[in-house]
Amino acid sequence: MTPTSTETTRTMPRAQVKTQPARSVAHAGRRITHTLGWLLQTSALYLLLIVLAVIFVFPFLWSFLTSVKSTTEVFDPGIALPAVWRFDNYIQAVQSYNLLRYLFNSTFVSLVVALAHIALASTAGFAFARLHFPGRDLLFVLVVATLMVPSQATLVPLFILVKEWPLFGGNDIWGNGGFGMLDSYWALTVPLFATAYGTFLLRQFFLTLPADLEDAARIDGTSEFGIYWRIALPLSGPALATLAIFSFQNMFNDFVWPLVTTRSDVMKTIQVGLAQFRREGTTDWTLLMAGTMIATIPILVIFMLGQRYFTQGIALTGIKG
Amino acid sequence: MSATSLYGAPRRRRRWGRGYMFERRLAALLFVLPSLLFLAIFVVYPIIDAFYLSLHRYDLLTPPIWDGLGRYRLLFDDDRFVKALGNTLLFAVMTVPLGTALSLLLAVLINQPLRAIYIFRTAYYLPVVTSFVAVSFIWLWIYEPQFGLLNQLLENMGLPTLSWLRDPKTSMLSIAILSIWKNAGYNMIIFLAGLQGVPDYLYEAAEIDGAGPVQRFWHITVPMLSPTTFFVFVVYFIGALQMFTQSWILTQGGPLDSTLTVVYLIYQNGFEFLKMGSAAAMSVILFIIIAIVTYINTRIVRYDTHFN
Amino acid sequence: MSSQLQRSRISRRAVLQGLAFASGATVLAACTPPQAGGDGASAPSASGAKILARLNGIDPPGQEFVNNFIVEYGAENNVEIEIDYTDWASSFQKITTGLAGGTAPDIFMGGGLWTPPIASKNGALALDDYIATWDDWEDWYQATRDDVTYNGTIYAVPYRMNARGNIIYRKSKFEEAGLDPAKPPATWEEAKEMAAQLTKQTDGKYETAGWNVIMVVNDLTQQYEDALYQAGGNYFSEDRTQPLNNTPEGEEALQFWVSFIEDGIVPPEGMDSGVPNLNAYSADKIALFAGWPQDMLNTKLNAPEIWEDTLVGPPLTHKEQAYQVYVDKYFVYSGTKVPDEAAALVRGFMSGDAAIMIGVEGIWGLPCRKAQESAPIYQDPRMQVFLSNTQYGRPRQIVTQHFDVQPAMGREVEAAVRGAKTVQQALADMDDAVTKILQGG
Repeated sequence: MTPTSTETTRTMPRAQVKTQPARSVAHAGRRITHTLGWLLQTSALYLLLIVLAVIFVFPFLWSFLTSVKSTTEVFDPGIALPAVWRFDNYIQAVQSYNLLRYLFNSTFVSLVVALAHIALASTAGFAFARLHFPGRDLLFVLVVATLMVPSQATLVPLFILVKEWPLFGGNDIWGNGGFGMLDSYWALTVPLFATAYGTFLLRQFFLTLPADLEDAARIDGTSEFGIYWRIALPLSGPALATLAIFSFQNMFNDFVWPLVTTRSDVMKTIQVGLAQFRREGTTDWTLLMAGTMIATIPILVIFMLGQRYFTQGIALTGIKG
Repeated sequence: MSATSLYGAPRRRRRWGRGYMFERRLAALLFVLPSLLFLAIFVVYPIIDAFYLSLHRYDLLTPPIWDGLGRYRLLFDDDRFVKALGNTLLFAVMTVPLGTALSLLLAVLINQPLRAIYIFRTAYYLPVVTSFVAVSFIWLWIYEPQFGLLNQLLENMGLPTLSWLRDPKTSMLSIAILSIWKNAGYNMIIFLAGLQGVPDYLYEAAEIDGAGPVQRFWHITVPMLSPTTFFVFVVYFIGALQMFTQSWILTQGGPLDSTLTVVYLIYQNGFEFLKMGSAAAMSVILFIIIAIVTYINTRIVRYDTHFN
Repeated sequence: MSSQLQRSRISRRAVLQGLAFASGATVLAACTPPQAGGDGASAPSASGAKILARLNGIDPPGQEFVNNFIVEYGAENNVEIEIDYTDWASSFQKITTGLAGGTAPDIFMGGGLWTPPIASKNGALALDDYIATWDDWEDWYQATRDDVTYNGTIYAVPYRMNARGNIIYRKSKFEEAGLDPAKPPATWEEAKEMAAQLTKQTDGKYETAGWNVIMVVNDLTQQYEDALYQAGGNYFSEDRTQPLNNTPEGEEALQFWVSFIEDGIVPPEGMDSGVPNLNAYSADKIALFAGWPQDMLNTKLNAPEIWEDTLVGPPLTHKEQAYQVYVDKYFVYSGTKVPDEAAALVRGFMSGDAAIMIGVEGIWGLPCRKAQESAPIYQDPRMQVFLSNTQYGRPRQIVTQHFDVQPAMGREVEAAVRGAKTVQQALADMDDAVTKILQGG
């Protein structure tokens, strides 16, 4: 499964870099003479960006506006502005159910799992990408194969496993008698630590890193762990940020697993809590959207934080050193 | 690729020789073991258990009863299962190639060093973050046949209107459009991260050689991104073949089972009809199909990455 | 090289910071005692049994009432009660998964189709002995008492009823069409006539539909079944082993619904508000239809002007005046460790104010016992029409496989209503499909 053609292009001749001085002069000249063209191009680009942004932002904008409307205004078509901006919908939402506690639970659980994913996926991904051991490729195929079974099929077996986990929640050594990991942070985190998706993602990223640095380090006698910790990991900022964002978000939005594994109000997560706004026959749209907005904040925060790492380019200037 | 081949015969250093290979193998094991352990216990074991359940009749409330291949025999007769398979494949083919290409283009667009680009980056990612409840609300309004946004636009342009989600002929297409829209930002982020790994000097060298932006895209960006593209395409396809939520919330599999997917049928059988054995059997068959399709995909995408 | 090291230091620091935060949070979370949520979802007591009850679809005022109720009840009866609030849509998956794992709340709510599957598979405790000590079991309507009885044993206690047979209509639209608002349609023929007069459409664009056909599979089953009862038919034989849809009664019933689309009273895809959880009636798109009490709630909450303009009439008559009732109920888990206390709590939930607040008042369910008829919402003269017609309610003929049977029937109704099959073909296929399911397919 290792792509071969791209790896050979990695070891580019070092002579390329020396063209730098001549380039900047040529660049300056081009900039002056092409100002108008550059302006038009940039404006067109911005226009495209804005049009696309409108298409993508639309529903989010709607859900925010709905969260500050009154109930009868909810069904006004499209993006209508509320007559009165009712920010106290938020206060009402928080008071209706134990929303803040649900939010804390979700944030805590998602953070723990995201961190676990980073640790587990980066180590396993590194091993699958860069280390050789017998059966490596077959094992990797099996790991990816686990993605091909829908969670609806494994829900009940996993639930029973978690419930009958030995020596937890009142269980004896054979897993009988109690609740195992159910209704606790354990059930919401530990079974979800495994990530085939994350391993696959990080393996692909490690494959795109130049092998030269690592090989050089190996010659110098660095241990495998040292290569991982000091070379591969720092360079994979964008990939780790991506995984952190995805893991956090998937955990945060997960509904079915927290639904079946929690029963106490204090253990519920935000999505399970928000579902209570769905009464029969009608839905408290304004409160539901207010609660949803509150629930979206941690995800957006993590996304904004992770964004810094996206433009962390891989400085291949290091190779010439 | 290993140090020995690059540098010829191994030099005699302390860390080399048989002990070195052992150390590398041990390190590999330690790196991989925690992940494999969690996977084995919490993912593989339930999968095996589920596959085992497919050989039983299981109504969740009483213990499973052995049935051998009985559940599978029933599936052969099941029109709905065949229909679901067709719908699912159709959905995947409609969304994955287009969605992957769209995300790649968005990532390239977002990678421009323009001012305030991070605002747009967040904007394009918002559908991923927006709750599906809100998304379905808006899109149900967009797709409403009589008074919805889309048909109003079509009317104003003098084009014929469609019944979108209400018409068995266009329902899956409607869900596909919505899904591409919702997932574009997700894969865009992955491509964006991958784009960071493409070294600048490659573009600069190409520019000097006189390559235009489109050529630079095709001959540098696309090949350098091939491990990422491979990942996105393969995983997106695997996910698309398991589509459930959109059908469940928007159309309940209808109208006339036109948006019924395999996972929806699995959910129905397992958690509504209390036929968990049949649900498990469907999962096994779905697994086999996804494995075959993925294998085909790896051949296709690999073929494209043999650029140079 | 130095810039790389700098970057590596940053990301390492971030990782270590993250780990520190996570461990700190873990310690914090472990040390934080779980606090009672909101107004107190659990009622502590000095000693005594602990009961966990799962209640579905309770709105915030209802929750407030329940939370206060369990404090009082817990103090009086020396028990500790905790409530697990869930929404209806996910409740079945939650309970079946729990039962598969051998765990369920001591008390849980169930919906219309739940009695045979849960009872026959030993999920619920038989309650005959407890009910024998109650002096007011006769207060429950007969139809609801029948619904919770399986093979002669009582397995649940109904807490509310529901029905979609009553006629709901717009006074102003009747007047506009020259119809007398005091005379809602009483028979199928009248319904079709009036509906045709009330429909306003141009070129396939419907401004108002004179009737409502809800195009969702399970709703189609239920709409058909109401008509089947009104045509004097049944969907199963007495012993519930033979489907009876492919009969003259079945044909009349299905044809009744199909004719609304055939005659252009309802558009082919049905009339919808285009907005989830907003009924087409509340969106001013329907003039006349057969609906639930919840439809009235939906209108009152979302469209107060339409609520003012709404009137209610009795169910239609064809050969019989009838409609089917859907019963929601409390089960006691068969594996509960506190059966006596749980049964007593169920009794408590169904007494006095609790009975009214939990099932009827908040969500506008129909009463299932006479004591609930004094609920405030039924003081409204239009809601009283619902009450005065409960006598025509008949229980459904439910089997253990009904979760499979209901959509199987609905798919055939959908095919007929959408013109994909003829009425005869749909009914024949319906009986085939149901027979296959009953035989264990």
